[in-house]
Amino acid sequence: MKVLNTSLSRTEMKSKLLEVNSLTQSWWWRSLFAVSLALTLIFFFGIWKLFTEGVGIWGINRQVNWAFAITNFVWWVGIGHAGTFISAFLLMSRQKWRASINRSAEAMTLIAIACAGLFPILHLGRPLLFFWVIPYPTNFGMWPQLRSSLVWDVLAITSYIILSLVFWYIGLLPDLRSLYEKSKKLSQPLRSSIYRVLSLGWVGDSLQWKLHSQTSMFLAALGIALVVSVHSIVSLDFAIGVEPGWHSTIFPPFFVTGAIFSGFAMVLTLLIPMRHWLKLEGLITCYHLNCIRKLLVVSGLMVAYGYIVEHFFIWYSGHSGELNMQAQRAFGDQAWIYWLMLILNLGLPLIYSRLNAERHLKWMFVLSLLVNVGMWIERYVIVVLSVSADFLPASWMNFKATIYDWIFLFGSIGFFFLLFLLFLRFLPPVSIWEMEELQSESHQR
Amino acid sequence: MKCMILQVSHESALRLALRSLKKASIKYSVASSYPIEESLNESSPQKLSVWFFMGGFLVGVMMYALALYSVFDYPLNIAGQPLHHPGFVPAIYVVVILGATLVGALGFFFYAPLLHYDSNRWQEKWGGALLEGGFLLRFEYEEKHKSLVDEILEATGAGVLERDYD
Repeated sequence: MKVLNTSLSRTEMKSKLLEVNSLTQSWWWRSLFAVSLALTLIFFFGIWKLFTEGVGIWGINRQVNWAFAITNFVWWVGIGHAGTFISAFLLMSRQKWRASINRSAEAMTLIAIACAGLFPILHLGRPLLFFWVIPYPTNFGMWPQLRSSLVWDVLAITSYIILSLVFWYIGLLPDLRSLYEKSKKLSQPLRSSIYRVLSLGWVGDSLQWKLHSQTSMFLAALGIALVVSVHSIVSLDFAIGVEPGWHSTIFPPFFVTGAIFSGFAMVLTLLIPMRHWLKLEGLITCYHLNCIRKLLVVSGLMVAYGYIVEHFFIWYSGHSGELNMQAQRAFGDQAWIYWLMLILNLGLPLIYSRLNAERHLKWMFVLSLLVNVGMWIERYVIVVLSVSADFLPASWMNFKATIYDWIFLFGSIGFFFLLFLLFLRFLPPVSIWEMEELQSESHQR
Repeated sequence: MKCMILQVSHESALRLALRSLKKASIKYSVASSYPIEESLNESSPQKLSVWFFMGGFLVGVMMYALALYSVFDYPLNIAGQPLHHPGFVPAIYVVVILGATLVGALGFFFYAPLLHYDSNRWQEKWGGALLEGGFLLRFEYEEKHKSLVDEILEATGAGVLERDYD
């Protein structure tokens, strides 16, 4: 199977990719931008309300005090995993097909992590004091507890977003130089000065390319170490607690595979319409989509294995708290959520394994949305249902979401799409220099 | 010793020129909008790995020192805490990666070298040549290589952007 399916020459392809941003000046971009902007404004309204009135606007209660905020956080962090996986794992394993999709997947990662990073701050209760978790010398002798999983979280997410940003930006430098030259040629003074500054004086001589390649490999190696550890650390927020449903050693690998599963689903959600609207079918081919689909099926089956092991542990431990929690999940007041999670997350990978991008593209798009819904529900089951009914029956309490909980969920989705649409507008969604390299190699063969 | 900058339109022509230059042991450098294997081999290896290692190592030591310090200085430390605790590992681990990333990226910026806007001949010639998918080839040559240079020009159809500058 060919990685590229285009009759364009290398120079024609380069010109096309330099022009691709102009295709965003159409109805689909404007409509999506308007919807995303509206949701983002609602999100900001929610944040203002939260800052002025406090976390009481959410449906949290004495028993369930993380609820939607941390569900959203874990979900967004998970989505942010696919970009680094595509960049780092596939670069190290020399997979050529990553070249067409890595730029947009990395952008997706950055934006998803930015969305994720908001939620722990927002749910603090006193969000303006979030900087207290950063170790800095103060005159009141306050130090963050470095053995706390919440401090691990802050450091892990910060490291992850900085590494992803550096990796993405260094990969972008050659294309920023091309964009600068193009905007200079078209006499666009504002754009050309911005691209000029951002390109950092890149020329692409032999030394720069050699260093670029070395740096990318080093960052990929570090990225692999981080991509596995970040979601493991997020899972430790739960696993080191004693709550039934949280206190499980399966959580780190379970969370990592779940993150990759949901991340690949979001990659498909973004790429399928993007390749159509930006007319990139020859560069992001059905081969690419099928590769992502296969990885999605594998990670989905690993998630299914995680479910089996988790349920086995609950039964095998004989722990009354765990058994009761499981009974409440499966047969309690909100049991339908649990069963919906199982249907979506166990069933969808099986359906995906029967699909093919050549024939079932629309279905792949619809199912990718459902995988994201399923994975959000999974996080809801872990964060909310587990603690709704823990050791003390007297303190059992169901969570009921308020309008503000939903505003924060859908508002963050709007914010995510708003930033992604801006990315499509101003930066090349496909790595131009990597496509040139790929085209050159395929011609030599 | 004189310098010359050529604009080459096709990769095959560039490779041909590079092979001839290599055969005659002439130093060269190529500016391209994507990496060309032959040209990469000519660059001397840099010590980027040391930057990455030192970044990770130094930040790791600092973080470990901070962890130990927090054992003594933490205000809730009323019953004593173990100096070496597994709970310190995740924080140190991720910050080591962060340190390696930042210092390694600085090393890349330093060696590349970046942030030199419009300061050399490459920058001046870049737009016209590389935006159209071409390549820039710069090399130093002596009087005795004059015939070889003519051969390269004829074989590759390259355009001379600048010649005989010191």
